[in-house]
Amino acid sequence: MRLCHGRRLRVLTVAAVLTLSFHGLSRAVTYNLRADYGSVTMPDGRVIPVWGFALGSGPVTIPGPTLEVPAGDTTLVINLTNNLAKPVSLVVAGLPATLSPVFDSGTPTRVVSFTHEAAPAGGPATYTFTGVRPGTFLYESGTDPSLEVQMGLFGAIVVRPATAGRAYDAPASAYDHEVVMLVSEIDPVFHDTVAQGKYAPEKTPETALPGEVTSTIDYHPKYFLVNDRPYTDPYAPFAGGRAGETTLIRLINAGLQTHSMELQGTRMDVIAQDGNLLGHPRTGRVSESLEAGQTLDILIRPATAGLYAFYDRRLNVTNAGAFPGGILAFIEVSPASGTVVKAHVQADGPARYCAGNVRRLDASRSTVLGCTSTPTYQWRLGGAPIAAATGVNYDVAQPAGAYSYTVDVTCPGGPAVTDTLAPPAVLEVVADVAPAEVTGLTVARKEFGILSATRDGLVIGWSPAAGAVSYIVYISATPSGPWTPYALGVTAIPTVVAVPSGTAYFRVAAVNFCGTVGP
Amino acid sequence: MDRQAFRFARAALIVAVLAAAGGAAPASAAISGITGTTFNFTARDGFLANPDGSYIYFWGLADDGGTGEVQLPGPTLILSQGTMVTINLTNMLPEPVSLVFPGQEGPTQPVYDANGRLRSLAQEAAPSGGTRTYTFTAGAPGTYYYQSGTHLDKQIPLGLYGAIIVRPPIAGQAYADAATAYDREYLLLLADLDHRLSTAAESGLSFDSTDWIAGYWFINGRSATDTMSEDNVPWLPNQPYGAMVSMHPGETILLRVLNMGRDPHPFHTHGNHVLAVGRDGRLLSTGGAAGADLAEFHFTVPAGSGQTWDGLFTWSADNLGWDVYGHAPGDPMQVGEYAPDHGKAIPTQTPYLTSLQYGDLYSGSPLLGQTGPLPPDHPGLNQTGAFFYMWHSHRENEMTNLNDFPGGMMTMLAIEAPWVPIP
Amino acid sequence: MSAPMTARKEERALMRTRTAMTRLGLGLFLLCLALPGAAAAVNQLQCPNDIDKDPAGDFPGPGDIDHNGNGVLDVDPNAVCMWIQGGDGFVRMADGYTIYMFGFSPVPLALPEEQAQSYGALAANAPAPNIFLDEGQELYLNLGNTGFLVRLDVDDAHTVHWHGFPEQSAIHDGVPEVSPAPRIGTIFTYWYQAVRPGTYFYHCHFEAPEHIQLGMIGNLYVRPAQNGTDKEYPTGSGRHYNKFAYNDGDGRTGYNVEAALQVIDFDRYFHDVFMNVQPDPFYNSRSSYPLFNGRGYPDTIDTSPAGIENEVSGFRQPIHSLVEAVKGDRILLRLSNVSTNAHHTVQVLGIPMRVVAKDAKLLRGPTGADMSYMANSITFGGGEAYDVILDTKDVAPGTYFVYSRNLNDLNNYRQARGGLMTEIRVSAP
Repeated sequence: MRLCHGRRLRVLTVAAVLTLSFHGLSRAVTYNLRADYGSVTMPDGRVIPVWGFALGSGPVTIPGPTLEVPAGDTTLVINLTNNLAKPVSLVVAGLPATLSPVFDSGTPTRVVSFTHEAAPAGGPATYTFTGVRPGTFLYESGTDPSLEVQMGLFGAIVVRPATAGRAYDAPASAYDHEVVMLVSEIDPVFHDTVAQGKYAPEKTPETALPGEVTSTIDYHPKYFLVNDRPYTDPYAPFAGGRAGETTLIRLINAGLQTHSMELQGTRMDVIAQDGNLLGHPRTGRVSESLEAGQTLDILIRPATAGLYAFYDRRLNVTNAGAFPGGILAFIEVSPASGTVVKAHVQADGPARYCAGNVRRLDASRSTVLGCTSTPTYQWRLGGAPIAAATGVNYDVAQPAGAYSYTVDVTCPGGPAVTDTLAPPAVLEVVADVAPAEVTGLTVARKEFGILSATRDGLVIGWSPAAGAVSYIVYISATPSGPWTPYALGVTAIPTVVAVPSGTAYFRVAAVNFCGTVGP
Repeated sequence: MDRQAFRFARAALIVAVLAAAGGAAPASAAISGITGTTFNFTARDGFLANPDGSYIYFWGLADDGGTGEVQLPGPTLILSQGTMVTINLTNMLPEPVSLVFPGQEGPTQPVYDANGRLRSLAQEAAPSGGTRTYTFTAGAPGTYYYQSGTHLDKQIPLGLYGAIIVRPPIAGQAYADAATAYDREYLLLLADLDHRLSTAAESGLSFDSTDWIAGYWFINGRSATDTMSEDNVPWLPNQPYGAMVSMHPGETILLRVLNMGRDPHPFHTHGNHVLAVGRDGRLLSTGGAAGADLAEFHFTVPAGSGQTWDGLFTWSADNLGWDVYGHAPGDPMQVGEYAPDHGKAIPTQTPYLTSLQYGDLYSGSPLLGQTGPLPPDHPGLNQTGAFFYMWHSHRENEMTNLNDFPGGMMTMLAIEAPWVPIP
Repeated sequence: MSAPMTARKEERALMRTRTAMTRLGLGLFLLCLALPGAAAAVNQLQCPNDIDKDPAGDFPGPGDIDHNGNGVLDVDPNAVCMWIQGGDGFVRMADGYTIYMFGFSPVPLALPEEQAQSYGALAANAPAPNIFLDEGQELYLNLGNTGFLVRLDVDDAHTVHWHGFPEQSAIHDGVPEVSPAPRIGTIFTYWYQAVRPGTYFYHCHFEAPEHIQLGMIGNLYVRPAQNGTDKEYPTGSGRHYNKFAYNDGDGRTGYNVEAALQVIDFDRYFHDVFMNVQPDPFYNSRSSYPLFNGRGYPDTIDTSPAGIENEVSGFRQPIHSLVEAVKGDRILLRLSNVSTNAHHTVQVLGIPMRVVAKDAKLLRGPTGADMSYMANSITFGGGEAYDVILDTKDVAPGTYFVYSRNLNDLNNYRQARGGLMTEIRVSAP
């Protein structure tokens, strides 16, 4: 039984990060989490500013680190420090905890946090869950959750029962392999709004400044992630063991919407919901709803080796509209016997990227079963072996161009078994050429919407500039500057911006794929 | 109101005409579809006629062995359990397409382009005349579907899907379990479409499917009120399957509800609960000889995307509190009548004609199988005195065609008096 | 409704709320002229206990019926009579916005029928009056049609659809396409025999996407006959109940505190353009105001007896959603969703929750299998209902939250920290 986690979603090596303490007979496990700023890059190159959790002083990840509560522990303690400029907190639906809600001082008073907070710029705060039971759970911020959960403050909790190889104490929850799949959503416009300091929930539409957003009612996700990324090639499937074996899928939805998880080629037995073993499992499902905030534990037992597609039947299978992407995963099932080697590679960023960057190819999620010796690796470019490229990772630092990489993964034991990556990992390195100057600028004032929603706007148009992937609209009170950005990441021409007060001048600059701003 | 009356008239007129001509109701109690082991399909484009007057561009499948017309949904495959099925697909669309069969056993066969980029979950038929053959063995009994495995967010909503019904060896049952026996069965395939996707596809343009907002909703490929028209009516050449449901009191009907749309559709059955006995082609059972011991009642079937629900529906005015036939206490019982209410009068009086509006499908009488006085301007569409019940998405916004009510994901159940024949 | 479509698209963009207010003034004027005449038409309450004030005196009379089939008209003490009027009005959202709506309003049975129109004017409630029945009761539900003071051009009827009523007849199912419905100024009477306990709800089914979106919805449930008996559950636990969600036989649905929480989404744009005589914008209808019982947080926890007031039509949101319990109580939440445009995931944080029923049916299989389950949330689309029981036995006294895990629902339109949320306050024993 191995924990075959997805992507960089790391189930922690317990000994390395936790301290065991004893409260009478019940043991406690302690994690030190940090809330902090970070960013994730989508497969199309869009950089998303996020707020996330990190372990200790480690990097912020989306989702946050998976917290494991080992068998025998009944208390989970999380010490939270906070490097954000806003208070955060931590709640886990389904785990017993004493909640101390925080209310604002308004009339009427409103809850701002479902439990006590870690103050901005430090904290700390401690969250203690006693009497925890086995299961799959979601932790997330309980402070301004419509903002903070959306920004990325969530992660998985796995609580283990006494018996290894089971999800719960019940024998019916036994499994051979386990995967954690945490689904989430990103509304890139809202993340940018927050990062630019333009989310102003304390204001009303009347008092908000141009560009400020006062609530999250207009949520519109464009990216859909399984663990730390949407589907993207090169792709490494989730490991589902051998044909005939049982794989446990711990399915978690940290997003705000319903997803409908459809598995092709074999059926799902849903054995638990929200960390509660079901009295009667929902057997034989082909497509099962995964609701916002929900966790499902699913057992599958594919009879035949191969890849099994697992995706959101609501068809959130694109990255901002580009198929394939989003909530689309493959589970790989290996032949029932023999030595199995199957090469898989994933990259630490988009396959299309800007020259001057290094892209790391990672073959660590290759499937190697029944191999008694350590696997070896040989990386190839265009089919030709690369000298000294024999590690599990290979760093690509190439000038502009397209490059096709493969890797031979070998189990050297007798007889040796080798598999060569197919399809290849194709990287496209883009030259950073400054975009052309924007011409043909037009500005017109217009009334938009009707009735209560009516407001004036400025329609700004221009001629598309060569090499542009987006534009920045600048504003100034004088024709000569200084210029400050008024709208970032604009892709639609013309665009509509809020009417500023007084006389204003506008300038538009193109931004290329590499983020270089033109004249 | 005028427009609404017209719409209902258009569909319900058929009820009246057929009833007058010989008591036939519009619904066919058998599910239209094709049987066999080898099927020849062509993927091509076409237009859906919508009751709002628009024609909606779609991609669908044509049964080359049938009319050859491209249709929404694709041809319903009615298979015997264990059948080895071969589908020969010819693709006349401008991009590669493929078919996948969720719920049938076997791993996915992904296809990648030259840049190592995933293109399809199954081997494709090339554009403009390419062919591909798919085979599978019809597994456990139940309700399933096929759909495109290529460019899913575009090709599935555009219409590349259809229902598969796998029958157990015992006729008249949904599953091997006797508790799933039925008198009649109906297929209700739910779907949705963002017309902007349709328009973009027709023009060869791309559409960002994360901006999806459905504007049209279908049952069996039709929007209300066309849902209530018969199968194979000549004015809907690309939408051959009706969705009108008919039954007699005391009968049990099997509803095969499947959601091929992107959004979840809460499907509300007026008149009574649905007893769900199967999900995704699996009896709701603890297993073995337990039968459908995990069957569950819903007054609104929560049909999530990609889910299939097999449910039983009955109606006999059980515990209604009055006799729907208007019997006097000493009258003989009707077939399927709820005996304890025999001879009880309806407790309320109906006000004067002039004080009420009367729906086009009201017979003029509160009693089953009877008609009564109606205002002079009433179309009198319910000549058999049927009890009509609206069955619809209770995400009520989906009962529209773009912005027009009535429309969308809505049809009717007609409970006909025992003496009114249902074909 | 199908309004005259005269305004061109560009003109529509210039419409203002004042247009509707002008119309409202006109409406009030015309009401004085027109409604007494309308009331002179057939307008007959039907109630058993001679509340109908029939000219024959106390008994018998129209509306009095032979309940037990013995051939004698009689008065049934088990019969309940209600009178509601359908009409329009305004309610206040938690961000202060006064929004136009259609709704039902309660009418006292003693009101002279000719006063119904003026009594029901601009009286729409959000939500509609509660209908809570005991198993075995009969309900005479008299539905009057007040008309629309702000939309005098509309002549819509109304209906009552008891959503989920098993084995219903067509005439009392409240679908106007297949049954009678009261014109403006008249009354139609629905009759129900409440024999199957559970959580239902009711709404107008006249041009349902429109009338429901505009607010014609209400709570409705039937208490089981088992109520009043003493049951200990679990056996030997010392926890006794005499109120139950269903006739469970063993007390497993016993509770101490109950609350009906009904969800609807008001689309502000839809309501605004509708008020201004524009075509219904069904396409892309979205939730501006996700509401529990007609209110967004924190109005949901405002327990002032008169409810929420708005400047146009007064107090029309009488139902708060604050749940108060003592540690050790079991809380029954009767959850229903009547949204026309959204599913919702309603989550409870901090109190263990068991889902015991769906769609007014105990989660129990045909042969007795217990299909109830523990969960943090339920998810429902429009037209679905759940019963969940929260057990406060092991929770600390304090404030807990029932809220939408679709976290973008936690707004009152453009005001954050509101929306689909209410509180459960657990006090120390």
